[in-house]
Amino acid sequence: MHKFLVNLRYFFTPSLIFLSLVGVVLGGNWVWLGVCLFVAAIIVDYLTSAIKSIHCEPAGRDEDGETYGSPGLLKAMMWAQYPVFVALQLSLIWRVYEYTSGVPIGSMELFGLTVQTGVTGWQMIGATISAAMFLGLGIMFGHELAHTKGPTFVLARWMMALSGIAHFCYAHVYNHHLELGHQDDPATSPRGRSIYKHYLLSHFGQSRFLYIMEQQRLKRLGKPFISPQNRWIRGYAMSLPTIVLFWMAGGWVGLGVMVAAWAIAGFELEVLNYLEHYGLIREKGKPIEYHHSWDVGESPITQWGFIEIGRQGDHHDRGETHFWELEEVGSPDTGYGYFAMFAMLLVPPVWEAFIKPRLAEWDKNYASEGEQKIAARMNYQAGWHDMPLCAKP
Amino acid sequence: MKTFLALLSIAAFTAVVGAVLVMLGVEQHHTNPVWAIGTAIVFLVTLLIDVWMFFAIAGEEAYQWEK
Repeated sequence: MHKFLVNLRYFFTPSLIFLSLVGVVLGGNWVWLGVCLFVAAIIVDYLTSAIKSIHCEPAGRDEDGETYGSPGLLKAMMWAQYPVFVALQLSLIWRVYEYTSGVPIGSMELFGLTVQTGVTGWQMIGATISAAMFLGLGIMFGHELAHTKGPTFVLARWMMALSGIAHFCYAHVYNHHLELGHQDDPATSPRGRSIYKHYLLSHFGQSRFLYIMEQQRLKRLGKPFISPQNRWIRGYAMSLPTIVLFWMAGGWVGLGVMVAAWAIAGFELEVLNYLEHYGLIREKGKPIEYHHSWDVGESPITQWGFIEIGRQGDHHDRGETHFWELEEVGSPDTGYGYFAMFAMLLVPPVWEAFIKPRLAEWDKNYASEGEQKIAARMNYQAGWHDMPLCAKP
Repeated sequence: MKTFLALLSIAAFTAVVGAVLVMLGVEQHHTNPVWAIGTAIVFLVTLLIDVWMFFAIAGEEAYQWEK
C-alpha cells in the first residue's frame, strides 16, 4: 500500500495538466480551470509549507534497500506527458481557430460531455493562460528526461520545443550543472536581481551557451555553422510545427497567442531556476556542494507536484539519479514550496523581504570564507546595506 | 545599457520583418499549407536572428555579477 501511494503522488501534476486540457476542450468558463488549479496549488502549498507537521519524506526504500518508486511506471508517466502536451497545445490551437473564424457560441457532444463550440475573447485569454501555465509546468518532465541519454533526451527536446526552449536540455546539463552559483551559469540569479530581469537574461544566456558550444563543436568537426548538425538551430527548428499550426489556425492572432503561451511557459522555467539557487555563491573552480542549492522544505504539494525537484542539493550531487531516488542531504532550506514562492517573487520587494534573512543565515552558517567575501560585495551591490555581511568592493 | 540596446534592436528588427510580411499580405494566405509553412520559416529565422542579435549586442556585460 505504501509503495502504491508513493508512486501515486507523482501523478499529481499530470492530473492537473490533464484537467487543464479538459477545461480548454470543454470551453465556456471551464477554460479558466487551469488558472484556478494553479492558484489553488499556490494557496495549498503555502499552507502545507507553513504547517510544519505536514511533511513529505523522500520516496525512500524498503527494508531490502529497494526504492519504493516503480521505475517502469514513473518513466512511462513522464513519456506519456508528451502526447498530453501536444493535445493541450492542439486544443488551444482549435480554440484560436474558432475565435478567429468567428464560430458562433453553441454546443456539441464529445465523449458524452457537452462541449461549448465558439469562444469569446475573454475565454480565449483564459484558455491561453491555462494551457500555457500547464505547458510550463511540464518543463519538470522535460528537465528529468534531459538528464537521460538517447531517445528520452530527444523526447525532452521535443517537449521543450513545444514552448520554444529546446536549448534548455543542453544548457542545463552542460552549463548549469557544471557552473551553478557563479556568473558563468546564466541560470543562477545573483542577489538583487528581479525575476523579470532574470527571465530575460537566463533565457538568452542558456541559448547563448548552446550557440557557442555548437560554434566550437562544428568548427572542430570542420562543418559550417549553418548546417543540419547544428543542435542550436535544430532545437529552434523543432518548434516549427507549433509555429505553423498556430499561424494556420489564426494568422496574427494565432501567432500572438503562441508568443504569449511561450512567454508564460518560459517564465515558469526561469522561476524554477531562480528559486533553486537565488543569491547562492560559489567560488570559481571550487566544487559544487550541497549548500549551493536551495531545498524547499517538505511541502507535499511541491514535492509531489514538482516530482522531487525541490531536493536540489542531492539532484546537483547526483544529476543522473531518478527523482524517486533523491534524498534529503541537508542543503539550506527556504522552508516554502515552489508554488508559494512563485506568488512571492512576482512582487520583488516581497521576495527580497522573504529571502534576505535566509541568505544572511546562509552567509553565516554555510558559506566558506571566500564565498563570504563575495557575498559581502554582492550584498553591497544589491543595495542590501542592512545585511550582516556588506562591504564596498 | 547594452542589454537595453539589444532589446531595442530586436524590437526594431522584428517590427521591420512584421511590416514587410503585412505589406506582402501573408495573412490572406495563412490557411494555405504551403504559404503557412513558408511564413512560419520566416518567423523561425527571425527568431534565430533576434536571439543572435541579443548575444552579439548585449555580450558578456549582462552576465557579469560584479560591475
